[in-house]
Amino acid sequence: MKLMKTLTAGLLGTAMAAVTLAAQAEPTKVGFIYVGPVGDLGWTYRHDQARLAIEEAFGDDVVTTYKENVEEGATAVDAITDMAEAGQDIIFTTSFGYMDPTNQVAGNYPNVKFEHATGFKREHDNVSTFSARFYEGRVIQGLIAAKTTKSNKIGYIASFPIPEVIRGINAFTTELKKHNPAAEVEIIWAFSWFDPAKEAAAAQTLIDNGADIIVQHTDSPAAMQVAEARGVKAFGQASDMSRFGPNAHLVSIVDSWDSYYVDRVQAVMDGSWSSSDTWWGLTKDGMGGGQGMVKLASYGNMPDALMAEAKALEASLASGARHAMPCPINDQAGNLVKDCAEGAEHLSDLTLVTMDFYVEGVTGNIPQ
Amino acid sequence: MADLTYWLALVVTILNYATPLLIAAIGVLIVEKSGVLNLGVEGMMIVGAMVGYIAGSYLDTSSCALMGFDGVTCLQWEGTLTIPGYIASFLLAGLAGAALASLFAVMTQMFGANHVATGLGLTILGLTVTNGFGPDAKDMRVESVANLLPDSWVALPTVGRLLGTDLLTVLAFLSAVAALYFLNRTRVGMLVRAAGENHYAAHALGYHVRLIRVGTILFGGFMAGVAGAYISLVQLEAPTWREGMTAGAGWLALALILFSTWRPLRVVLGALLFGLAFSLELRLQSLEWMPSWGVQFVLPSLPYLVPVLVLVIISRNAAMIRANQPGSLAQPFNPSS
Repeated sequence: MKLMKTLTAGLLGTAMAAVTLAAQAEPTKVGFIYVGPVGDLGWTYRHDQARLAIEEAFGDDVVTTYKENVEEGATAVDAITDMAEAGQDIIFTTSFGYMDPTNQVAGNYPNVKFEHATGFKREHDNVSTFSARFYEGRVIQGLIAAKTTKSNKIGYIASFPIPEVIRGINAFTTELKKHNPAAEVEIIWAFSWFDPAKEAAAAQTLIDNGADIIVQHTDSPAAMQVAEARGVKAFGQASDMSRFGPNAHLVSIVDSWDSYYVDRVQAVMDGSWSSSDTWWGLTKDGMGGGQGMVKLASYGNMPDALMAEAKALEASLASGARHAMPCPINDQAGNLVKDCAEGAEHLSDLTLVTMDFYVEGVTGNIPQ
Repeated sequence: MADLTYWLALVVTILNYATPLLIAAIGVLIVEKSGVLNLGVEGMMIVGAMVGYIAGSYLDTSSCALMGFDGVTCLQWEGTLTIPGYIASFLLAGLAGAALASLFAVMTQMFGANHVATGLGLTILGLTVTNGFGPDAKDMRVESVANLLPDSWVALPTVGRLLGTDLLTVLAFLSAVAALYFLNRTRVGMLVRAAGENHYAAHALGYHVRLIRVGTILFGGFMAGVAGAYISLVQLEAPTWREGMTAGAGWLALALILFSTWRPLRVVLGALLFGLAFSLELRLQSLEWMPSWGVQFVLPSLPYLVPVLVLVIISRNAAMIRANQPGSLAQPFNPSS
C-alpha cells in the first residue's frame, strides 16, 4: 500500500512537473475582441496599442490575437466563443455591449479568464471588469468649453444612452455651467460607437445649429475633421486627435490601457489572477499614485491662461484634491441628488457606475 | 434658431446628400435609356469611393509639387486635396467604376448574360473586393478638400456655407440638363434611345446596338465611380474610407430612375427629395418631439423609407411608367436569330 502511495505520488509529481514545464514552454495566449477596426484612430486603436504593449512587455512569452469589427449583442457570443475555443488564456472584450455575451461565454469556459471593459456584470469567478474614469477628463473639457465658446452653444455627439456616456454628459455640463451659466449643450445620439459618416453628419448638424465647440463620445476623428473644415473647436476622444484638427483641437481624452493590461497578463502568468473590478482615473488610486487609464493630450488652440487653468484642474483631479463631481449636484427637477442629500461630499462610485439620469443643466431626455 | 443661416445650411445639406445620388442616377438613366438594366451601381460606387480616397491620399501633396509650388507651400497643404489632385482623384474613381462596368459590358453584350443576375453579381463583387482589399484608414488619409472659391469667401457668415458648395454639386445638376439635351437633341442621344426602345428595329436600321450599349454601360460606370468618390472625399467634410460606406446609395440611384419614370428633370427632383430625407434624420432628432424608438429606428431609416413610400405611390400609375420605360429594357437581344 505504502509503495503504491509513494509510486502514485511520484507519478503524480512527475506529471505535475511535466504540466508545469509544458505551461512554461507554452506562451500565454491573449485574445482581444474589438468593436471597431484597429484603424479607427480612436477607441479600438488605443486597445490595440495596449495589446502591442503586452507583446512588448512579454516578448515570446505571449501570443496575442484580435478580432475587429465585432458587433455588440448576440453575434459577439460566437466571436468570444471562437476565441475561447482557440485556447486563449485570457480574453479582453473591449466594449460595453459585450457585457452579457462575455458573461455567457465565461460560464462555458471556466478555465479562461475574461476581462470586460466598461461593464459591471461579473457573474462568474473568471470575469473581471475594468473601466476608466473618463469623466475626469470631461470636467476639464467643461472648463475649457465654458471659457472658449462665443456662441454659448456646445454640440455633443453621444453614442449610446449607457451610464458611461450619461456620466460624461453630466460631468461636462456641470463644470460647463459652473463657469458659464449661459452656455447650452445640444446632444445628438449617433446610436453607434464607430460610424464616421454618422459622426460627421452629427457634427455638421450641430454646427449648423450654432455650436462652436464639438464634444464627442464616439470613436472616429470624423467630427474633429468637420470642426477643422468649419473653423470651430473640438475635443478629441480616446486617441490624441490633434493631427486631425490643427486649428480646431483643444485637448484629447486619451485612453491608456497599457499598464492595466500588462498587469493582468502578468497575473495570469503567475497564477495570481482573480476576478476584480478596476476603475482608474487620471491616476490609479485617484490620489496621485501612478499613471491611470485616462490621460489628457495636446492642449492647444486656447489662451495660455486658460491652458494653465485647465492643467491646474487636471493636477487637482489627479491628486484627489478635487473630485470630478462634488456636491451639491441637482437632478433635472432641481432636487439634490441622493448622495448629496445624504450629506456626501461628492457622488459615490455606485451612483456614477449606474448613472441613468441627467443632472441639472442638461436639457432633453435620455433615450430609453 | 431658424434664421436664414439655418435654412441656408439645410439647403446646403440637402444639396450635399443629393449630389452623389444625382450623379449616379444620371448614369443609370443613360444606361437604361439604351435598354440595359445594370443593378451593379452600388458595387461600382463603393469601388469609386475606395479608389477616389486612395488616389486622394496620394495626390494631396504631390499635386502641389506638380503645380510648381515650392516645398514650404506644399508642406502647408499636406493632407489637403488641391484642385488638380481633386480632379485626378475623381477621374481615377470614375475610371475604376467604368472598369468594373466593362465586366458587365462583356458579360451582357458579348456573352448575352442576364442583366439582372450580372448586375447583382457586380454589386456583390464591388462590395467584396473593397472589403478585402480596402485601405486601412491609419495608413493613409486625406484631411480636407480644397474649396473652389477663396477660403475667405467660404468663411463668410451665412452665405459662406452656400459658396463652399462643391464643384461636383454644380456639375451634377448641370449633368441632368445635359442629359435632357443629349437624349432629345443630339444624334447619338437619339441612337441611345432607339437602342433602348426597340433594339431589333435599331439593328435593322443598321445601327450597332451592342456598341451603343457598351458605351452607355461604361458611362454609367464612370458616373457611379465619381458618385462614390464624392461620398468618401467630399460629402462628410471629413474625407473617410470605410467598408460599405455607400450604404445603399447605389440602390437609391436606381430607385430614383423609377421615381422619375426616366425623365431627367424629375431625377433632380427625386434626388432633392431623397437628400431632404437624409438631412432630416439628425435635425429631427434635435427637435426632440419623437419618442426615443423613433429617434433610434425610424429616423435613420428615413432616407430608405421615403423612396419606398414614393415608389409605392408612383407604381400605382402604371400607364405613366409604361409610357416612359424603354421598350427593350433588360430584354434579351439576339440579332442573328
